[in-house]
This record gives sequence, structure tokens and C-alpha cells, in this order.
Amino acid sequence: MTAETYLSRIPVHIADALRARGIEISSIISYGYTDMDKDGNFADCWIFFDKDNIYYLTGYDRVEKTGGRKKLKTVFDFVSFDSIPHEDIKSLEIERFVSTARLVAKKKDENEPNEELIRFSLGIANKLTSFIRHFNDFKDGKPAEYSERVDEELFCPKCGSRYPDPEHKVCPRCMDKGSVFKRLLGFFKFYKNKLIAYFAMLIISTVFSVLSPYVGTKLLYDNVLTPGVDANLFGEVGLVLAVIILARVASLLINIGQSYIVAGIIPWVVYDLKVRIFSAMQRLSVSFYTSKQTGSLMTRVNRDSNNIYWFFVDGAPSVVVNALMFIGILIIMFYMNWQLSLIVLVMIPLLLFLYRIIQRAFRKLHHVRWINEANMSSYISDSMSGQRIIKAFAKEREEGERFSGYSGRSAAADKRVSNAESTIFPLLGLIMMLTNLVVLFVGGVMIIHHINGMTLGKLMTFTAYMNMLYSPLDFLAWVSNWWARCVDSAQRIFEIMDAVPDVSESENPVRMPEMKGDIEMKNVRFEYEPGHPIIKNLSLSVKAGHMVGIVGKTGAGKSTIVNLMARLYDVNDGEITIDGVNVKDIASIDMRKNIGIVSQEIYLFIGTIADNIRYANPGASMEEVIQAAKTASAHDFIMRLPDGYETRIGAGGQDLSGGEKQRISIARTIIQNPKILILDEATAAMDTETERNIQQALFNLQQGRTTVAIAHRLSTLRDADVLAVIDRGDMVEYGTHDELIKKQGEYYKLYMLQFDAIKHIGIAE
Amino acid sequence: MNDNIIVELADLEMIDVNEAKFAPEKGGYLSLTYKGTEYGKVKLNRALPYRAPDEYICVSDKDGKEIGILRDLASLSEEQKKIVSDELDKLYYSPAVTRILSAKDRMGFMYFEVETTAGKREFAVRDASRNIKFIDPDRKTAVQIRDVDGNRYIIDDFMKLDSSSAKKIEAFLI
Repeated sequence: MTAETYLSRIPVHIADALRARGIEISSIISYGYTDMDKDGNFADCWIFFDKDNIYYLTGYDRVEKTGGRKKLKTVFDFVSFDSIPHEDIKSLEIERFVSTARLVAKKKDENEPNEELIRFSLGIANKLTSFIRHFNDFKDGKPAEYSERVDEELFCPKCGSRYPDPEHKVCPRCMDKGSVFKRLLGFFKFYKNKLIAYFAMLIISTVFSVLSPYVGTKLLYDNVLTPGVDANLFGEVGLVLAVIILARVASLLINIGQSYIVAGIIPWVVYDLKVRIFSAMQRLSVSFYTSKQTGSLMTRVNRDSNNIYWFFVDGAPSVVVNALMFIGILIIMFYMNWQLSLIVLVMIPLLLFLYRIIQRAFRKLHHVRWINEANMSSYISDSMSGQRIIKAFAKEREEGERFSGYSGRSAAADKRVSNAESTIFPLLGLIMMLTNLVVLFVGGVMIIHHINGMTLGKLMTFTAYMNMLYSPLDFLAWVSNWWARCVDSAQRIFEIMDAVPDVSESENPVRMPEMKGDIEMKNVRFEYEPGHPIIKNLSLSVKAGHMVGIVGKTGAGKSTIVNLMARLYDVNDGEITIDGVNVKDIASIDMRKNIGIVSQEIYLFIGTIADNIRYANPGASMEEVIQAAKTASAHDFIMRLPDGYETRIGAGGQDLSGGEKQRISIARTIIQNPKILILDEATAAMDTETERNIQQALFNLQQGRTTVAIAHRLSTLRDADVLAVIDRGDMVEYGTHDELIKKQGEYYKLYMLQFDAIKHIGIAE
Repeated sequence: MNDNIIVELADLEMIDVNEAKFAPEKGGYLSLTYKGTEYGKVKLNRALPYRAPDEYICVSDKDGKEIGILRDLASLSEEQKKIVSDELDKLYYSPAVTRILSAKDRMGFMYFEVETTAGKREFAVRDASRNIKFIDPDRKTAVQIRDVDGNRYIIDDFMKLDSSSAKKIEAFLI
């Protein structure tokens, strides 16, 4: 990113405030946002530096509504502006406290104590790292690098206010629910005709149910059961009953038809959504899966698609039905008698209001109940898995008492829900009954005085309609929550679909189906988290066909190096080439084909052993599979299994030991036949005996390939042509085993440590 | 060696207040001279930050090695006590929520607008039932809220919160 783009990301209202204080934006080298003023009070504080000074701009962001098309705009209520020269400052660093952190300046004069510059809440600390890096680079005489990854968007581009959660780029002020819905509707476009048919049926059946009291009740009372109407009583009653039955049957048939159509559309739309999410997730880079929120994301995908499913199966049709019913009933009521209808109309807002209050109260009660149940079940599973410890400490009785506490709270919550239900619903019924009574009274008076042609049948029908009005009212008062939940779910799903992979294929990928295997890393820098470089300026080259061993302490960055070689991540700086071509330009299919990884995390998929060995090349013949298994020293134990190569492994399948699984994964890599082989602590989890067996398998695998091996046990690396010792992201030593031993440096130290440990065990035995 | 001892307990150095001298230094840190040794910059940590914020204070040197445990601030002289409490207040500074102005459930996040002892603040909470909880479920007084950035907000006493504020979070506090 250029300096211009970087600076253009300063929100407009802040840039204006800065300009008003005589600072040119173009002179700024870096900026950062913090959230407290000097006294530790919350404020919106911006920190900048140019070549001479550090500036603080303190004030409050305020979102204002404007009349224009962009409805919201953030303004800055200015409080203070300070500047301090940074001539005598050597570098900046962050000191973290329990809930807050502060930025301190180290002085050039070492005798001078550090100076506190500004305080902020802990969450801000991670977001200031680029500012600090820019500053420290500036002090070292290096130009500021504006990398895309570090400067994530913290501000809503539309209204300029800060995202409440920067990882979830949704501005609560500007979110447009309509557009999400529109996009969701896009998934229905293949089913247009079916949908039209469905809604037509929906309308017909609603009309039926709206008209049925009119036909049934009114005809029965006024045309049949009214004294003085001369008619063949049995025939008329029969006719009315026949009409009622016919209407019922017709609406039943239509209902069945509707359900069939819904079943033909919605599951497929949800299927479509799930498939798209899944393939979107496959496309994403490894870093997406290591980020901390993956777990919740995965469970949410299922819940979210279910939310959408139920809204469309149940919610959306009900909205149509209930809205139609509501309007239809009102029309008929007004058609029958407008005076009585007015009484009802007055009651509607009151009822709507009551429904909302009741729903809110119940949601809370149900939520409490739900949490109590969740607590109870998590306590149960906690105590089940801790049984050995509970017994060892003889705590059975106490645990029983604790459980009775959880269970008691859960029971109390149940009681509250059921008490509330038995109080509120009858109360609501009472209010409805009162309305009915008023209507009946006024209607009765009207019948007696023959006002507006009121008859007994009419009044009966009218009250029947009135009672029909309550259920759509209840539904409509509540559906907006449901709708909001559906939109939320859809939004989250679209977020995954829209996520851009960090590692993406270049536009004109270089095809390299056959690699030689020369690997070159030049001045590579890499960080997972901004401000914490794992690899700093590392250069390393591996000749084709050679084996390089990477040695170093835990956390030195060894695994990161091989992850970068395999391009599971992209470097922040420098480059990695294979046969002289930058890995960023190589077609990913060729990368995956030519680089094989055997790591200590062994993952075998659900399926047979043969399928797993064939994973890289499903077309491999059985001969090839057996040959690979033999090379990996896996054939013998596979043949000892009753189902041989057809043994099912993975979740729910045959249990294999770690060493056996590792040998299968080696066989899998042999079938892949990669030119470059990465062994990331392949034998770390195994005992020495198993390791020795696998070593042979690995040795067989390495023939004719470039190998990069990481190992804790230095003995594992005895065949390496050359060793690289890594410490804190840097290569500190490079050479053959003999050279490094002679040098008596880091490698020598590590070697002697392990050698000593072995000697000790020797003595003990 | 005595055969009855099966576990040799670790040494527990309770700081002798008569031999300890804490002093505030320029640049905002605390130094300690203890039993004749000058430790320079030291760090303080509360062992019981909620139940007994002034007792069991671990004092460690700048490399994180523990020098000893300060049993109770009350045993210090007035002057020393003030120095240590000021440092603790700074380290544990955390604005307390006094009122909850609004709580909105959007997109599975709770968006809060609150008043704190340090002014107004807006923040978002993910997974509210897990991130809003009583610090001590047995006593049900102080409430802790963690926002998406990892910031912690404390409500000193839930029972003293006004009812409209309490209603907004009570569903999460079980």
C-alpha cells in the first residue's frame, strides 16, 4: 500500500480536525487510534507523528444524522491538541497492565527514565503496533512500510464511526437489512414458478379460511335457524353442512399441496447455501482456520442455515397468511358492521402492545431457563469426565450437593416459566373476553333496536371473526424478531462466502508440473500477528536433492519456515523461490503436487486405509498402494488387521497407534510422489523404537527428493547434508554437523545438552 | 533427612514490612529495596483481586522472579501504604460501569452503550452469556463484561445498579 492510500484511510472528520490545527495530512508518517485521554477517561484520541513531533488529538466522535443520501456522518467534538518533539526519543513500546496499557517512550539518553505518553484500554494495544513499528523504523532510518494486513479497516467507510468489532466488519448504524434479504432471495430464483404456484395456493387457502365463518355461521343462523323463515329445515341444514365440509376438504387438499411445494424448494435452497459455504471455506487459507474464532464459526454455520430454513419454511409463509387473514378479516368485519369494527379497531393497538410486553417477558424467562439447563448439563459432563479425580479426593458427597444446587436453580426457573404462563395467558384471555362482551352488548342493543340491519347470525359471525383476529395479531407482533434473526444468520453466512483468502493464486500462474526442487529464501520476514515478527530477515537455500535439517528451540519459528515454503502463508517481506520462480507465481495445483508434508499432526480421513493412501492420486492402482505401504513399512501391520487394506479408519473406525497412523501418512506422501518433502517433527510423538522403524520409512521416502526436516531430537537429522540453526526467527548457524560441532556455537550447545541427557539415562539404568 | 516428609514444601517468603522500602520512580514505576538488596523496578500482582485486593500482593523483580508476598497492605506505614496502593490502582485501573444506557442484540453480538467512571463508552460483546458474568457466582455482587477487543469492564455491585440497567443484563447473569 502506498503512503497516500494509507493516509487516505484517516477518517474525513479527523483529517479535517487535523488540518484545522495547521497540520498537513501529507506530512504525517503514521497514525493510530486510542480510546483514552491522559487522565484515563474514555475519549476518541488520535495519535500521529511527522518528522519532528508526536501529536495527540483528543475529542469525541459523534454520529449525526444528515438529510442527504449518505444518511449518517461522524463529527468530531474537539477537546485538546498537543504536540511533543520526538528528538530525544529512541523508541516506543507498549506496557500492558491488567485492563489498560500505556505507550512509553524510551529516551536516547539511557539514564533518562521512560516517559509515559498515553494510556488506552488493553484491546487498543494490538491495534497500535503498526504505529509503533512505523515510529521505530523511522528512528532506525528506515522508511515506513504500509502493509495491507496490518492496517485493517477499523472504521465504517460509510459513516466513519468505529466498528464495534473490527473482525466483524458490520456497522450497527449502517447495516442494510434489505440488501441481505435481496441477496438471500437470489437463491430462490431457480424456483420461481414453484414459488408463484405456492403463493397462489397460499392465498386461495387463506381466502377459504377467511370466508368459512361467513358461509357457515351466518347462513346457518340467518337463513336456516331464524324463526319465521319458511324452509325445508333438514335440507337447508344439510346444504350448509355440506358447504362447510366441502370448504374444509378443499382447504385441506390445498394445504397438502403447499407442503409438498415447500418441501421441494426450501431444503434445496438451504442445501445450496451449505454447499456454497463449505466450498468457500475450502478456498480460504490456513490462517483462517488457525484464527481463534473458527470454532464458533463452524457451529454457527449449521445453526444459521437452520435459522434460515425455518424462517422460510415456517416464518415467511405465515407472514403472508397472517397478513392476508388480518386484512381480509378486517374488511369483512367492516363490510358487516362498521360500528362494531371500530370498537375492535380501538382494541388492536392495546393488544399489540400487550403481546410485545408478554413476549419480551417470556423471552427473558425462557432464556434464564435455557442458561440454567445449559449450566446443569455442562456440570454433568464436567463431573462425568472428572470421576477419577472426584473418587481420588473422596468428594462424591460434595459433588452431589453441588449438583443439587444446579438442579434446584433449574427447577426454580421452570417454576417461574410455568407460573408466568398460567397467570399471563388467562389474563390475556380476560382482556379479549372483555372486548367480546362489549361487542356483544353493543351488538345486542343493535339487534333489539334493529339498527343497521343487525341480526343474530351477523353478530355471531362477527364475534367469530373477532376471535380469528387474535392469532394473526399475536404472530405479527412477534415475527419481526424472527425476521431479524434470519437476516443476522444470512449476514454471517454471506460473510464467510465473501471472505477473501489471504493466500490467493496469482493471475497468471506459472505451470510447473515437474519441479527440480531448488528452494531459495531471500530476506524473508513474516508475522502472524502484526508487530510480532516470527521470522526476521531470514535467508536459506536448499539444493535440489539435498536434505536440510532445521534445528532450534520451541517457538524459534521452525514450523513457520516450512509453512512458508509450502505457501500455506505468504511472506510479509522478501521472497521464496522454487527453481528460481517465486512461490506466489506458481500455480497452486503444482505447488500441492510437488510439495509433500509429513507432520506430527497426522490427519487421516474417514474411509479405508487404501483410500487414505490413495488420497493424493485416487487413480493409483492397488499395486502402487501396496508398494507405497511397503516403502513406508506399513504393509506388514496392515496385513495383520482382519480387514487388511479395507480396514476403515478415521472417526469411528479402527484404532491405530500413532506410529501406525504416521506410516500410513508417509505411504500417502509416497503415492503423491512430491519433488520436495517437508518433515515437520514427523517422529516427535513417537518412542525411540517406533521412531527407528519410521526413520527407515522416511529414509526410503527421501531418496531423490529435496528434503526439509525439522526435529527436536538431533539424532533424527544425522543424514542431513546441511543443518540450519534457527533462533528467534533468525538463522544463527549454518553448516554440516561436523562443521557446527567444531564451531562450538548454538548447535554444539544443543547437541551437548541432548548428549548429556542420554548419558544421564545411561547412568540411571 | 526425615523419612516422614514426603513432599518438601516450597519456600514462602512473606515480606517483612520492616525491611521493605517501596519508592515511586520517575517514568511511572515502583522500586524496592528489601533486606539490603536494591531490586530496582518491581512488579505487583494481586493474588485475590476481587475478594481481597489489599492482601496477598506478589512482588516480583523485573525478570518476573518473585521476591516475596506482601500479606496485607494494612501492615505498611501510612506513607508506604499510599505508594503501594497508588501503584496497584494504576496497574489495575479499570473504569467501572455505572449505568447501561442501551443494549442491542444485533448479528449475534450485544452492542452496549454504557456510562463508566471514565465517561461514556460503546462496545460490543460476543457470546453474551459467556462474557457477562458474576466474578464470584456465590456472592453475586461484582459483574465482569468482556468485549470483543478483550477489554474488561466491571460493575462493582450488581445489586446497586439502577433497575433499567440491571434489566438489560440480568438475563445473562445466572
